[in-house]
Amino acid sequence: MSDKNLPVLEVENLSIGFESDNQLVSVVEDISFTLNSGETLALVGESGCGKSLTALAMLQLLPAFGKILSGSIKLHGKELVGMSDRSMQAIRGNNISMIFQEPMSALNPVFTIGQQVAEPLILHKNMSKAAAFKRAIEMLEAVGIPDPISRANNYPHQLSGGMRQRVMIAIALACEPDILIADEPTTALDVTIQAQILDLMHDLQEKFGTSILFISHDFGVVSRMADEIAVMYAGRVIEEGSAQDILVEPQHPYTTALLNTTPRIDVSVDRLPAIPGRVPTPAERPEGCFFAPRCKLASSLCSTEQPLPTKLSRSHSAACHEVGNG
Amino acid sequence: MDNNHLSKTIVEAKNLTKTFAIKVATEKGWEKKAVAAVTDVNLTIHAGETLALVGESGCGKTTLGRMLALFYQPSSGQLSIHGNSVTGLKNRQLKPLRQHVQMIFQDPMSSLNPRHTVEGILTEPMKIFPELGGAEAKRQNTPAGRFEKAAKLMDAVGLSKADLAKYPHEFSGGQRQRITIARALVLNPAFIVADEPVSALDVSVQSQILNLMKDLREEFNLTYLFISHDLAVVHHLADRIAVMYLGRIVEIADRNSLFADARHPYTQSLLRSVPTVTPNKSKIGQILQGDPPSPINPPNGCAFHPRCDRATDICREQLPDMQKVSDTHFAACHHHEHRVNTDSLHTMADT
Amino acid sequence: MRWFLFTRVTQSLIVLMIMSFVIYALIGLMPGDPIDLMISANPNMTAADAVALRELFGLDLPIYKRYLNWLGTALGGDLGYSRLFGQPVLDVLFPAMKNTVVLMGTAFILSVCIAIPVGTFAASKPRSPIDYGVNLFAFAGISIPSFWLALMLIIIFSVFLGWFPAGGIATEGAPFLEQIKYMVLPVATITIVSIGGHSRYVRSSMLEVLRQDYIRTARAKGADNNRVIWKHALRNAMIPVVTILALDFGFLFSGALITETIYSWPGMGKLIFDSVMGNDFNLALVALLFATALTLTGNLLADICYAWLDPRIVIGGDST
Repeated sequence: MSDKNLPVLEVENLSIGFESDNQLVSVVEDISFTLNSGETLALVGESGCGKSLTALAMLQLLPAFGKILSGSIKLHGKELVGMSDRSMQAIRGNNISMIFQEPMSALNPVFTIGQQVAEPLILHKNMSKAAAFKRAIEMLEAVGIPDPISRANNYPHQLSGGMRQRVMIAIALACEPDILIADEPTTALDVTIQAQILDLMHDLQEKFGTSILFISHDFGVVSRMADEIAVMYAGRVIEEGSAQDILVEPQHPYTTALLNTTPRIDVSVDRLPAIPGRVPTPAERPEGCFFAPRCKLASSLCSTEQPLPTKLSRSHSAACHEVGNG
Repeated sequence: MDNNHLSKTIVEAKNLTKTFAIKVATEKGWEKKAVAAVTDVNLTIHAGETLALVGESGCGKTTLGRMLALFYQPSSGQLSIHGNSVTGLKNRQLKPLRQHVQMIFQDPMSSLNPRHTVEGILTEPMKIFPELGGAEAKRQNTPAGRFEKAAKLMDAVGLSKADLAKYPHEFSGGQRQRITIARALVLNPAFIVADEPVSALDVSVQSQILNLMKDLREEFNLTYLFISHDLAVVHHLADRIAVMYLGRIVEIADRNSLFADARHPYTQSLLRSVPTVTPNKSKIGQILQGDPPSPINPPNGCAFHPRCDRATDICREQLPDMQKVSDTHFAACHHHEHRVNTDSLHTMADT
Repeated sequence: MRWFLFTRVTQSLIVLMIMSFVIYALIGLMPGDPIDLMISANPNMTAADAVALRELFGLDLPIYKRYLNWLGTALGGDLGYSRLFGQPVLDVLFPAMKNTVVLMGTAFILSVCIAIPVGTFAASKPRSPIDYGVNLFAFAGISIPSFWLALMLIIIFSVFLGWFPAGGIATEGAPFLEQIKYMVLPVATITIVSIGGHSRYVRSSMLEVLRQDYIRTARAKGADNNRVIWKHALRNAMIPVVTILALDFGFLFSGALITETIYSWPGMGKLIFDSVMGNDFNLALVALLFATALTLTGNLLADICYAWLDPRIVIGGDST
C-alpha cells in the first residue's frame, strides 16, 4: 500500500478510437486525469461521452476494433500502453480490478460463486484450489453476504441483483488491488440496494485502501462517492476538480447545465432548465468546442477553436473559452 | 392540487388484486401456484392530477399500472375508468373505453414498430377508432384529416411534420419517446399511464421529456399515473405519490407531506437512500438491509416487518390497515405515528 | 429427478404409440399387400383364393382393427417374421443395428471431437484467415453430396491406391486391423459430411457466448485467452450445441442410407431401404419404430445433458 495522495494511476493525453472500414473514428480525445492513492475519482457524463470506454482502456479490454490511438496510462509510474498481453494479464484482477453495470450478466452462469471468487487468487496468488476457495468465503463475508459458506456453493442465478454485485466486488477485491474501476456499479439496482452497495464500497475502501475510479452518469451517486470529479462530454474531459469545485462551484456551462437539469429531491422547481438538443455522436462532432451548439454562452470563437483546459485553482480546471478570461 | 375533492374522478379502484398462476418447483415436480402481484389496492385518481407510483422492482407497480391501463383484467376488485365500470368486461366491451386510457413505456425503441413510418404509427389509432368523437371528428377521419392531426401532434411534442415520413430508427432515444407520447395523445385520452418513461434516457434528455409531459398535461387536460423508481423525478412531477411494497400500497400522500413527513418506515428508508447532489463523501448509514421478500412466500402480518427495525409483535401477526395521518396522507403501518424528519437529512447534508 | 424421468418416459411412450400407428398406416398405404406379392409369385392363384387369403390373414379388416391386432401380438413380444430374410425380425434387426452403431458412432464421435476444437478456434479469431478457412471447409462439407464423396473416396483410396476395400464388412472374428480397414472409407465419408454442420454450430454458439458480459469479467480477472475460451466460454457454448447433437443421436441408429448402400455396409439404413423396396412390411415397420424410439431417447438424453451443463435448469424441481 502506498502513501495517501500519491498518484497511483496517471492518464495523459489518452485518445481512443474505433476502426471501421479502414476508417479511424476517434471516440475519446486527449483526456488526462490522475487517481490518487486511497481516493475516489469519478468520471461523470451522459451516454456516449466515452467514460466507459476510458474505463475499459485502463485494463486494455476495449471491445473488438477499439484501439488506444495515443497517450499514456501509468500505474505507479509504469507505462501500461503498449504492454504485452501477458504482462497486462498479470495486472488485471491483481493490481487493477473492475466491476460492471449489470451484475445479472457479469457472472458466469455455469460456475459456483465460490469458484468465481477464487479464480483471481488461483491466477495471481499461486493459491491452491482449496486455499483460494477458503479465502473466497472470507471475501464473501467481507462484502456482507450472509451465510457465505453455503452461498459459495450457489450459482449466480440463485442470488438477487444486489447480492451478485457484492459477489462481483468480492471477485474484484480478492487480490487486494491498488485500483478498483467501477463502471456504473449501481445503475441497474434499486435505490435501497444502491445505497447498500455504495456504503459497502466506502467500508471496503477504508479497509483495503483501494483507489477507486468511479464511472457514473448520476451526480447524486457521485456526490456520495467522489473526492475528485472529471466531467466528460463527447469524448473530452471538459471540467475537473474536487467534488466541492464541481458540485458547488461548477464553471463549465455544460457542468452547470447538467447539474441544474437533474431533478432533485431537496429542491423544487417548476420547470427543469433543459439543455436543448443532444450529445453529438463521434461522427457529428462539430468544429471547435463540442458543446458550442447547445451552449447559451457560445461565441463565434467557440465554434472555430477547441478550448484547452484552463487552471482555475490548484485543484480546478475547465476547458471553456468563456471561463477564466472574464 | 387542493381542489381534489371537487374535481372529477378519472380512476377509481377498490380492492384491486391481480394474481398470476406460476409454476413452482416442489418435491413432486412442478406445481401451479397463484402469486399475487398486486393485493387489495384502493386508489382514486382525480382529473388533472399526476399520481406517482413508486417502489422497487417486483413491487407490483407495473402490474397495477397495466390494470389501470386496461392491459390486464383484475383478478378481483372493482375498477372504473372515466366513470365506466370495467369489472368483468370482455375485450370487445372494453374497446370503446380504451380511447380514454393510453400508455407510455420505458423503452421507446421496442414500443415502436420498426417497419412503420411515424405517420403510420400516429394514424393507426384513428383507423382503429373510426367512430370516435363528434360528427366533426368523423368527417376529419380521412387520410388527409388523419395526416393533419398527426402533424399537429408532432408539433405539440416538439418534432416536425417532415419527420412523419421517417422510421423509428432514424430518431434518437429522446425523440422516440416524444413519438410514443404523440401516439398516446392521438385519441384525446383523459388518462395516461406512463411506465418509467424517462428511465432509459440521459439526464439532459430526461428533463426535456419531463418538461414536455408537464406542458402537455396543461395543454390537453391530462391525468397521469406516473410509474417510476426515481424519487427525484417523482418529486419534480407528481402531485400525489403512492408507495408500493410487495404488491400493496403502503403509503399515499400529497407530495409535500410524503417528502417532509413520511410515516411508513419503508418510505422513510427509500427517501434516506436517495443520494442528493451535495459533496458529501460518506456512508449513508441506517439503510435498509437485505432484499424484498419473494411474493411467492410473503411474510405474515405486515410484509415489511422482516426488514423493519420498528417491528413489534403486532407487525408480525396483523396486517396493518391504511391509517389516516391527515386528509391527504395515509400510511399502512401500525406505528405510523413514529416520525422521522426526512427533510432534516438533506438540510444536514447541505451544511 | 425420478418424477421427471417418469413423466418424460410416459410422454415418450405415448408419442411412440402414436408413431407406431402412423408408420403402420403409411406402410398400409403403400401399393400392394402381401397377397399381391403371393399372386405375383404364384401364377396359379385365382382372385377367389386371394379374397379367401385376405380374409384368413385379416387383411380385409379396416386399418385400425388390423393395427390393433398387430399391436396385440407385438406387445406380446412377437414382432413377426421378415419375409425377405426368412428370420424373425429382431434377429435381422440387431446385427444391422450393431453395424450401424459401430459405423455411425465412430463417425459421430470423430466429427464432434474435431468440430468442437475447430469451431471454437474459428470463433476465437473471428474474421481471421483461420476462421475463413474453417468456414470454407464447413460449407464444402455441407455442400458435397455424400454419394459423390463416397465414390471419390472409393476411386482414390480403393481403386487407385488400393489402401482400403471398396465396400463390405470384415467377417466375424477377423483381426481388429482388418475390421478397421473396412470402416475407414464409410466413416470418413460420414465424418466429412457432418463435420461442417457441427463445427458451424459450435462456432456460432461460441461467438454468441464470447459476446457475453461474464467473458469480459473473466478477462478483467486476468485470465488469458485460452482460459477464457476453454474454461469460461466452452461450457456455456456447449449448452445449445448439445441439443443439436442429441437430435442427431437418432441417426446413429437409423443409419446413413446412401453411404451404407454405396459401401454395402449391412446397417440399418440399408436394411430399411431393402425392406421397403422388397415389400417386407414387418421388417420395415419394426425398423422404423426402433429409429423413432431411439430419436426419442436422444431427446431425453439432451434434456439430462442440459441440466448437467447448465445449473439454471433444475430437473424435477429439487430447488426453486
